[in-house]
Amino acid sequence: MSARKKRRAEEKRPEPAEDESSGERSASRSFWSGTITFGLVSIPVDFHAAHRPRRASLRMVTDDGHPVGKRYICPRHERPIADDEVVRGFEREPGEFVVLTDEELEAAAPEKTRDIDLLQFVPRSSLPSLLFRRAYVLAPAGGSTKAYHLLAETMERTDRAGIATFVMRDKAYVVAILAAGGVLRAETLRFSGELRTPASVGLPEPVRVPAEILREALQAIDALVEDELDLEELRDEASEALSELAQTKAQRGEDIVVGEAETEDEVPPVAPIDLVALLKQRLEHAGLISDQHAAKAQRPPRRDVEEPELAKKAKNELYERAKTLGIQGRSRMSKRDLVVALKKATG
Amino acid sequence: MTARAIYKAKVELGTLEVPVRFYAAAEDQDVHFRLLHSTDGQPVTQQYIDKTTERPVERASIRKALPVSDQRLVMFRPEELAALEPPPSRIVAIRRCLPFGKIPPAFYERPYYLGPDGDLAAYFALARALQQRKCEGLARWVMRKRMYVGALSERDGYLVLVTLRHAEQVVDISAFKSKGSKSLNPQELRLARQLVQALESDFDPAAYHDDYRERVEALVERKASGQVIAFRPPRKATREPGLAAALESSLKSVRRKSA
Repeated sequence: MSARKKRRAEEKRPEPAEDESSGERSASRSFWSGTITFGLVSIPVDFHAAHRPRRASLRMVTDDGHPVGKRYICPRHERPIADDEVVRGFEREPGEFVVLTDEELEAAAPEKTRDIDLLQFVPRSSLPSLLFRRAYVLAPAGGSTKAYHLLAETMERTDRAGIATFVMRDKAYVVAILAAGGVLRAETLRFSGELRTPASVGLPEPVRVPAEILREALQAIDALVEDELDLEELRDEASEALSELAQTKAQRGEDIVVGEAETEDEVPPVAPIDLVALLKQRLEHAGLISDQHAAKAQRPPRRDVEEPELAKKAKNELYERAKTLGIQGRSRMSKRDLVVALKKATG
Repeated sequence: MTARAIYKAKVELGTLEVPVRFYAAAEDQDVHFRLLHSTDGQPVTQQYIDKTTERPVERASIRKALPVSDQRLVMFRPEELAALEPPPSRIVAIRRCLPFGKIPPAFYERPYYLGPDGDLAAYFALARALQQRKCEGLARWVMRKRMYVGALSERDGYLVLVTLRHAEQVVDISAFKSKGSKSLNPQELRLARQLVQALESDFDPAAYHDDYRERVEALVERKASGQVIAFRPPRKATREPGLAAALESSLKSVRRKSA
C-alpha cells in the first residue's frame, strides 16, 4: 500500500482525533525512523509510540454480538460505495467542494525528508503544559549509539529541551526533544496558531488580589505539596471498574459472545505493547543495561490463553456449522461452547 | 467576543473556592477533507453495519462490549454502564500540588483555559499563588459523565487545566536507567555542553508555523475556476447540478482576487 493510499485509509477510519487508539498501533516495532541533526552531529533514531490505549476500550456490537463497522454510502445513489469511488474534496464555501487529486496534494505536502532538525535548546521549564500533544520514545538506531547517549546525558544535566522540526508521513511537526533516564523522547507540540490566548477567549483583565486571599491560596498549596508524582493518582478507575464487571459477567457466563478475529484496525484486547522489551533489547545490545535490569524490564504479556487446539480453529467456521445445524443461542456462545454444542449435535 | 464556555464548575483548594468556566484552549487547525462520491460529487455519509452479515445496523440497537480474551467479549446493558458513571459533580478538587516539571509531558492531553465565573479576586489569587509556588495542582473532576484527572497551572496570569492520560496509557521507560554516561568521557561531555549552550535561545512558540493549510488553500483557489463541484441536498439535486454553481463560484473567486 502506498503511503498516500494508506493515509487515505487512515482518514477514512472513523476515529476521534485525539483518541489514544488512533495512534501507532504496531508499537512493538518502530513505525518511523529519522535522524536528529544539529551542527555537524547526526543521531539516527527509531520512533516508538509512547502511548497505548486505555485498558478497557469498549467496542460496538450488534444484539447478536457481531462487530459493528462503518461504511460509506452515497446519499443520492443510496448504495454503499467502494474505496476507489471516493475522492477528496476541500469545502471552499459551505456545500461547495473542490476535488483534490492525490498528485495535487502530494505537491502541497511538505518536502519529504528524514531529518529532524534540532534548531535550538531551551530551558525545560519554558515549555508550557498546554503545548504538549503526543509523545514518542526515540530509540538509538544505527551502528554507533554514542552521540545518542551524549545528547541525552547533556540535556539531562543541563535541564534543557531541544526544539526540532521534521516531516513525518506528509505532515510537518514541531517537537520538544526531552531526555530522562538516558532515554530520548519526542513530544509533538501544538503550533501556536492552534492555541487560543486569554485575550482571544475573552477572559477579563486581571484584578488586584487582596493579600489575605493570596495568603489563603498559598497556604492551601503548601498543605498539599508533594515532591514527586504518585502514579496511583493517575489510576484509571473507570477502566478498572469496567474490566471488573466484564470479568464478573464472564465468570457467570453472562452476555458472552464470540468475537471476530482481530483485524488490522482493531485494538488488541489488552494492548500488550512490548516497547519495554524492545528498548531493553537495544540498550542491552549497546551494553547499557545489566541482566538484572533486563529481567525487571521484561513483562509477561497479559493475555488469557484459550486452549491452543481450539484457538487454531476459525470460530467463524464453527459458527457457520452451528448455523447449519440450527443450534440455538449460537451467536452468544464462546468458541468453546460452540465446540461442545457441535459435538453434542453431531454425536 | 467571548468564547463559549463548555462547562462550569468550582475549583476547591483547601478552604478556597473558585468558581470557573471551562474554555477549550486548543483549536483544531488540521486540514480536513470531505470524501465525495467520484461520479456525482456528493459528500458520502457513513452507515453502521454488522460486519458479519454486512447488513445496516440502527444506531439505537448498537451495544457496547469489552473483550475478556482473544475470542470472547462480554456485552453490557445500558443500565450496567450507567451504574458505573461517576455521580454528577461540579467540583474540581485539587488533591496534590507538584513542583513544576514533575509531571512527565507524555501525560498531558487536552488543555482548557479556566476563566473566572464571578469571584475575580479568588480566581486571580489562585493563579498568582500557583505561579509564586511554581506548582501544578493535580485535579480531579467529573465532566460529561466521565471522571478526569488534570494538571492545574498558571500561564500569563490565568488558570490552565490540562487533562492527564491515565498511568497505563503512558509507556513506562523508567526501567531504563541507562548507564550510558559511564562510557562517555569528560571531554565529550564538555564539548556537547558547549554545543547545547551555543544553540540555546528563548523558546518562542510563534516562531514555528505549519503552512500546509495555506498551501492547500492556495491549491484550492487555483483549481476553483476549473473543478468546482457544487453540492445540494440530494432531494433537490438534479443529475447535472454543477454548471450554474460552478460559474457562480468562479465569478466569486475572480471577484475576490480582484477585490
